[in-house]
Amino acid sequence: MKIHALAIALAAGMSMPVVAFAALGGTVASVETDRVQMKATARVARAASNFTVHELTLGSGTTVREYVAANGSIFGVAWNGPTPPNLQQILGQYFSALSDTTAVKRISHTQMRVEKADLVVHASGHMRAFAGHAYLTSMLPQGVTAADIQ
Amino acid sequence: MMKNIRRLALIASCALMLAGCGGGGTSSSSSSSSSSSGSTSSSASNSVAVIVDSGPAAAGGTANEAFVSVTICSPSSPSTCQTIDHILVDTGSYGLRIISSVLSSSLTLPLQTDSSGNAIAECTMFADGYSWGPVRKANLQIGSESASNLPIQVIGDAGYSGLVPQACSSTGTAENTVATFGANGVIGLGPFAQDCGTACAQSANNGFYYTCGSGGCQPAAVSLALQVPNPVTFFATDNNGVMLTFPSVAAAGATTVSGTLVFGVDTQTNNTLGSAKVYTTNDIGYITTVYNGVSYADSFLDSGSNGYFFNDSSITQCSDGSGFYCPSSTLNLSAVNSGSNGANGSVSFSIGNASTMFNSNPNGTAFGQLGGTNGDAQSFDWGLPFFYGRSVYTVVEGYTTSGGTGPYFAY
Repeated sequence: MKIHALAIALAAGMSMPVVAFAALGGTVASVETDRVQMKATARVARAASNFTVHELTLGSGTTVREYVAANGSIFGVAWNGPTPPNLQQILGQYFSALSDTTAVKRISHTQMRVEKADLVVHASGHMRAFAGHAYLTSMLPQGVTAADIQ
Repeated sequence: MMKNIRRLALIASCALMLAGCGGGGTSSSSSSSSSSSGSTSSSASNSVAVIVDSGPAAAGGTANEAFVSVTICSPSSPSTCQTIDHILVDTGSYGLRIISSVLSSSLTLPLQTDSSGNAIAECTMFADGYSWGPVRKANLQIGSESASNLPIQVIGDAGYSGLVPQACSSTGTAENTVATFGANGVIGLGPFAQDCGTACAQSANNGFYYTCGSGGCQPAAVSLALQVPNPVTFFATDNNGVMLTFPSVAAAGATTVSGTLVFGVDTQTNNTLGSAKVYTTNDIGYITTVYNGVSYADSFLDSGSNGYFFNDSSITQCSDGSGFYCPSSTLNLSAVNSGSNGANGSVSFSIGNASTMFNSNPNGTAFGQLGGTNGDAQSFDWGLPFFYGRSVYTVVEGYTTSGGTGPYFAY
């Protein structure tokens, strides 16, 4: 099913609506979808104590890191670089929370803070330089904290 | 003072009543040209007033946001001008951007186009959202300084609102109105000459720039000359940077604060560096801050941030989930900033209880002890409270002053 959807997505090209599945909360397979969708030029994986980090380097120079638990689920994403990444792609179903005025604390253009049920998104930055992370608290592996998702 | 506030109030209400203000908000330049020719006796003509107040009414109230007024004229009809208040003063970005809805329909601003005649449009990204709109050319007057055919971004321009590329809208939530942007516009006066720079001249998939033709808006490489520049670099004089000065603010906060924006650094008697120490930034505008023994390499001085944003898990956060700090008593803290040039110096600052500040001073708009968490674990964001009681200088990349060559901050 996912492969079929991916083929449709690729055929439709850039202007297509958002692919239904994406990184956060998805499976490790969706890292590859993100790589394709964001036209990443490189993908590197490295193992940590009880999770694996898949790092995508985008054409813009921004890097995206996706944090995969031992059970194959993506519990967090992080990014940094000259422009924010395609957050709709890597947050997937959680992207809409960014425009939920009850969940978003818009305290300054340089700071974004979203805490809605299971979802946490923190971002910062100014023109030419951005960084942030998002994670699902219920999916954090034992012993992993927000500080590990950077 | 009172007159100034009334004038701002009038302009703000004008911005809300677009239909009735189209003519009223626009004027012949006879007054502005006479004021510039008559200002030769003023030694401070390179300076304008900055005000911290509650912001444009449509924004619903702001805190620690500093604003100036700018006068925009049509390049093809230079006597047709409009003065726009509540433009956010931002040392964390580069370029002048104005929300389309506050511009008079009688003010004609031509599109910036590429060599094929396609309009150039821009996605301006912030940590909390994006602003989309075309680049247009305007004549800018601010104080006695002027810039002709200055590329600016017109955010939320109606003719382009249906053309926002998915690559832009996917970076966050839209901030294309006064209400969502929090100001009538922003004047980016940080230490770079263009909003994007060489990255956008070399690569089409830069995230910032698009060219718009019959097939919609496509990612495009845009030369430096066509990008939205730091407006001071277009001035004939005093074009190497700015000095931003504010008085101190009482711990309880203030209803309004008046500061000064001076154009140029070391170009006049009113903008000399004096004993200010120069902190050179890296190529993306960062300095390093050491706080509590931890080094934060993504740190910056940003008049467009409304607090001290840094992470310290020992400080109690406010219960509203805002991320602002709410310590039980005022904390007196310090940190050490260092620049790429090796300069370093200690900064003392205080963090108060944000909830107490807001509740006990409901009319307050300036709070010198406002702080909160930072969404980047490597960052210390020195917002407007840092600027209170100081003169802070920004010098644009490539410009040399007595204190060194930009990009740098000095204070």
